[in-house]
Amino acid sequence: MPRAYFGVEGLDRNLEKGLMYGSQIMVEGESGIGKTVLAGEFIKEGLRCGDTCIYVACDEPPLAMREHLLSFKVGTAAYEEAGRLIFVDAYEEGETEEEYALADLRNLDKYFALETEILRGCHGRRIRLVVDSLSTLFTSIDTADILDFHRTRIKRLRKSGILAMDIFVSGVLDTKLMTISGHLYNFILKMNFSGSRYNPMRMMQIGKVKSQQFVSSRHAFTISPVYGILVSAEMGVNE
Amino acid sequence: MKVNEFTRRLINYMQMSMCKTMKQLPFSGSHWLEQFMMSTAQYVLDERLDELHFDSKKPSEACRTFLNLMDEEGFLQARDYRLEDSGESLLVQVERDNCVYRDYCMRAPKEGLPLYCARLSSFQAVLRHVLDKDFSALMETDERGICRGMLFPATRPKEEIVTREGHILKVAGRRAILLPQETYASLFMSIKEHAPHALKHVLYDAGFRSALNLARKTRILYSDPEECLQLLLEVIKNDGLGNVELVSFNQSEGRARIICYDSFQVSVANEYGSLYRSPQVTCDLLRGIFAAYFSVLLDQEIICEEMSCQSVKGNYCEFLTMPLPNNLWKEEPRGGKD
Amino acid sequence: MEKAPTGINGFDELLLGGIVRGNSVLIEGIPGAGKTTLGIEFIYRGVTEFGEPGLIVTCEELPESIYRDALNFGWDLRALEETNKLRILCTSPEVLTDPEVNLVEEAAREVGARRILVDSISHFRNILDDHLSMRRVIYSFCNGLRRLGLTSFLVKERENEGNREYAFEEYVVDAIIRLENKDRPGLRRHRVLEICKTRGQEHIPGKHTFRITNTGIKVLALLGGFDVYSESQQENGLLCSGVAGLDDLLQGGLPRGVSVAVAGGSGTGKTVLGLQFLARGAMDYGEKGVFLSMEETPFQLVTNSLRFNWDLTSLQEQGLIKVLYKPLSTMEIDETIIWLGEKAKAFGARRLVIDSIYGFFSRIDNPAVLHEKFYCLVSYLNSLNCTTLLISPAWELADSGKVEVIHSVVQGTILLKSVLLKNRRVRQLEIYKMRGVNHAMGNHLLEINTSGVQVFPRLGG
Repeated sequence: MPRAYFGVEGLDRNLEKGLMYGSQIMVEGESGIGKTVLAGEFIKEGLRCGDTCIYVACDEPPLAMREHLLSFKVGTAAYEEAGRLIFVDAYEEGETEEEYALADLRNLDKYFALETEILRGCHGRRIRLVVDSLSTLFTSIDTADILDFHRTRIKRLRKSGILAMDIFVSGVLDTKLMTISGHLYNFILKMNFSGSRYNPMRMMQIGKVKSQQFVSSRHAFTISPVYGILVSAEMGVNE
Repeated sequence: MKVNEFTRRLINYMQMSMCKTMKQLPFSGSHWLEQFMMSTAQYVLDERLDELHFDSKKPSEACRTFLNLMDEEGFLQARDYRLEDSGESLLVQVERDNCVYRDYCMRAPKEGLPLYCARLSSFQAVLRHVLDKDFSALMETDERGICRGMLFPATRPKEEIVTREGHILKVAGRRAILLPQETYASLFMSIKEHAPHALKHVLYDAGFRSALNLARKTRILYSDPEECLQLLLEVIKNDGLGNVELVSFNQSEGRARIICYDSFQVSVANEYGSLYRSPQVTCDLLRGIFAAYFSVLLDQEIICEEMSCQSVKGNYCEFLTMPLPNNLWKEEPRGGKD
Repeated sequence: MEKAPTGINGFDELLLGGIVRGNSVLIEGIPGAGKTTLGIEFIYRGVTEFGEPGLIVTCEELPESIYRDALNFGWDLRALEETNKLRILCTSPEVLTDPEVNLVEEAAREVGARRILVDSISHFRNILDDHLSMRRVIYSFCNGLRRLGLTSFLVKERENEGNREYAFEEYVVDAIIRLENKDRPGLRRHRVLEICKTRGQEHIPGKHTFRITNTGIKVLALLGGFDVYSESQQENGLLCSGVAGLDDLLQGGLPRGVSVAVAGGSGTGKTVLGLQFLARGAMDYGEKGVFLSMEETPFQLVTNSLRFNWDLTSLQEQGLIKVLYKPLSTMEIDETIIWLGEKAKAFGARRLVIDSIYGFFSRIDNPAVLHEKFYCLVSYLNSLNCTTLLISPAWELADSGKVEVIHSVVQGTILLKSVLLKNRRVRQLEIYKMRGVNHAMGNHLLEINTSGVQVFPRLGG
C-alpha cells in the first residue's frame, strides 16, 4: 500500500515515508489562517493519486470548496461524476442541492450515520475524508457525547483504512477537550499567525507521534494563487 | 524510348515502394511523397523545356501541353484526360483503366499504403512551373472507375514538416531540436530538485503554451472543430507524445474524453522514476496540451483532468476536458473563512 | 385399541384420532353451551362420514325440534331415519332406567347402531333422589351401552359454573368434555371446550376455543393442528430489517425465525417500522411478507405507505406482500392464530407483521392463558421460519403482568419511545432484548423521514 502525502511540498518533506491510509490528521488553526486551503491541497493530491475524496463542509457551503478547487483549475465536475469527489453539505441546514447533506447539527449520531452511509458507498476504494470543521459539529454537543463519538469514529476510520483530516478552529472548543481529542490523532498540525500585527506571518507547527515521542517543527508559510501553500524551510525551533 | 508493359509495371512498383518507405518516416510522409512525385515531373520539365510551349496561363492549357508531350512519347494518350478550368482551380477526369498508374492506384489501398495520385502531382509541378503557385490536390474515384481530381491554389505554404538544412533542423519551418528521453527526464528531474512544488504546474503550463500556437494556426485552416481536433491529435502522435485517441467529444458542453496509449511521460516515469512522492497521474504535459487545444477550438477556457494514468494502472491514460466556469469568485487564493 | 373418530372439525385432533370405541363420554356444561349440538354432530358424522348408524335418546325435546335444529346445520336427520341409519327415541328417564324395558337395545339392534347420544342423564336425577342409587343406575346404564358396543355421548346439564354436586358420574364415564360459554373482556362471549379426562387414551389438555358455525362445531385446536415441538429446518443467517441503522445496532440484522415485539405509544412509528420491514424486504431482498392489520384498514395502510414511496398495491400484485385485515371486533384469538399461520405458510412468507397484539392483551385476563396463547402463536410462526414483528402497545400503559408474559415468550423486544430532550421532542429506539444477538444497548435516535424510519446508532458504549 502506498503512503499518502498532503500535496504540500514543505510539509511532505517532513513526512519521510508518508502517512499510512488509516491515519488521522488533526489540523487546528486560527480563523483565516488557511486551513481550508490546506484541505484543498490535501484533496488535490488525493485526486491525483486516485483516491476518493470526501469533503464535509460545515463552515461554508460545499460550493466554496468547489470553487476553490476550480480556481486551481481542478476539474471538480469530472471527479464528482466519477464519484471520486464527494461533497457533504453540513452548512445549509436543509436547503441544499447536494446529494449528501446533514440537516441537523445537534446530533452527532446523525452525522455518524451519514458518514457511515457514504463510506459504505465507497467500500473498497482508497479514501480521504476531510471534515471542515469538526469543531463546528461539536459546538452544541455535551462533552461526554463528543468523546463517545470521537472515539468510536476514529476507531472506525482507523479500522477501515481511511485517511482522515479533521479541522478544528482555534478557540471554539475548550482546551481540555482539545487536548483529549489531540491524543486520538496520529498527526497534528497547528496553524497560527505570528509576527507583528502589521506584518503578520503564517506559521505551521508540524507535530507527530514518533516512537512514543511527540516531535514537532515550525515553519513559515505563504499562500500562492498558483501553488497553494508554500512552506519555507524549517525555522529550527524544536519544542 | 518507348513505353512497354514492363517499364509501366516498373514505374508502378517504384511508386509503391516510395509509399512503403514514406510510411516508416516519422514525419510528414505525405509531404515528402508529393515532393518525390513533383520533382520527377520537374526533371521532365527541365529536360524538355524547349519543346514545351506554355503559351497560356490557364491551368487546363498548361497541363494539356504537358500531356501532349507525354502522348508524343507514347507514355499515355492525351485524349483520355478531360481538363476543365473552374475559376483558379483545375478539374481533371480520366478513366482509371487508361491511367499509367492504375496498378499502384488499385494496390496501394489494399496494402495499407497512402495513395497520392502521381498524375495530379505532375500537374502540380507543371502549374508551379508555369504559374509559380502552389496547388493542393484532391482526388476521388467513383464506382465506375472514373477518377476525378481537383487542383486548387494552396492557401498557405506547406510547412508542417521537419526539414533539415545542413546542421539546422526545422519543424514547420522553424528551428527545432530532437530531444532524447534522457534529456527530457533530466530537465524535469532538475525541476523536481529545485522547485518540486512547481513541477506539475510547469508541465501543464508548458503543454498548454506550446499547444496554443499550433492549435490557433490549425484552427484557421480547418473550420470544422472535429476535423481540426483530429489533425491536432495526429500531431501529438507524430511528435511521439503518445498514441492518442478521441473517444467522445461534445462540443456544446465542452466535454471530451481522450485516451492515450504509451504516453511518453509514462515511459519516462517508468524509466527514470516518478516525479512525485506517491504513485499518481503524471501526464501533465498532455493535460496542458489538451486544455489548450479545446480552449482554442471552443473559444472558452477549457480545463483537463487526467482521470487515470498508465503509470499507476491500466494500459492507457484517460483524460477528460470540461469548461472552467467563468463565474468563479475572483479572490484567489481564498484565505480561510473570515 | 380402536378409535371412533367423532368427525367434528378440530375435535379429533384433541383426542389424537377419536374416542376409544365403546367408551362413554360425558358432555357437561351450562344450558346453551352447545352440548346437544356437539352430541348430534357426533351421531350425524358417524352415519354420514363413517357409516356408523346411531341412536339419539332424548328425554328433553321432541323429535321435531331436534330435526329442525339439526337442519340449521344442514343435517337432515329425518332422511337418515328413513334410510334406517338413525333412530331418535323420545322417552322418559323412568323407561330408560327400567331394566325390564330394553328400548335402547331394541332400537340399537334395528339400525345396527354403533353410536349413541343420551340427552340428558341429568333427568335421571328427577327419578332418583339418593346418590347411591343414582350412581348404581348410571353405572349399569353405561355398562349396558358398552355391552351393546355403543360409543356413547352422555349430556349432563350444569346449573352453574362453580357448584359440582353430583360429580360421581365422572368416575363412571370414560371421558369428560366440559363446555363453557363465558363472558370475557371484549364484546363477544367465548365458547371454550376442555377435555377433562380420557380413560385409556391421550388427549391434548387445555381449554380450546370452539365456535358453532353454520356447518357445525369447529374446535380451534391450537395445539392439535401442529406440532410446535418439531424442530423445523431453521435457516441460519441474519435478515436485514430494511430499517437504516437498526441492522447496525443488531450487528447485521434480525435472526431468522424469531418473533420480536415492537412496543411503543401511539405516534412512535411502530406501524411505519412494520410496513418498512415488509416493503424493504420485498423490494430489496425479494422476500415475501404478510401484514396482519387489526387496526388500520388495508386502504389506510396503502395510503400510509405511499408517503414513503412503498407501493403496497403493486407489491401485492407482484405477490410479494399480502395484507390481511381482521378488525378487532371480529377477531377470535385462536382462530386468528390458526388462520394467520395457514395464510403465512401458504404464501411462503418470510416476514410477518401483526399490528397489533393489543387484541390479545385486551381479551385475555389470565396471564397463564395469555402465556399459553402467545407461546403457541410465537412458536408456530417461528416454526414457519418467519421473522415476525409483533406490534404492541406502549409498555408503560399495558398491564405489567401481561407485559412480563409477552416479554418471556418473544425472542426480542424493541421499544419505541417519544421523549423530550432539551425541549425538543425526539423519537428513540431501544433494543430491550434480542436473544442470541450482541446488540447495542440504550436509546438511539429514531427519525421518520420521506424514506421511512431511520435509526441513528448512538456512539460509544
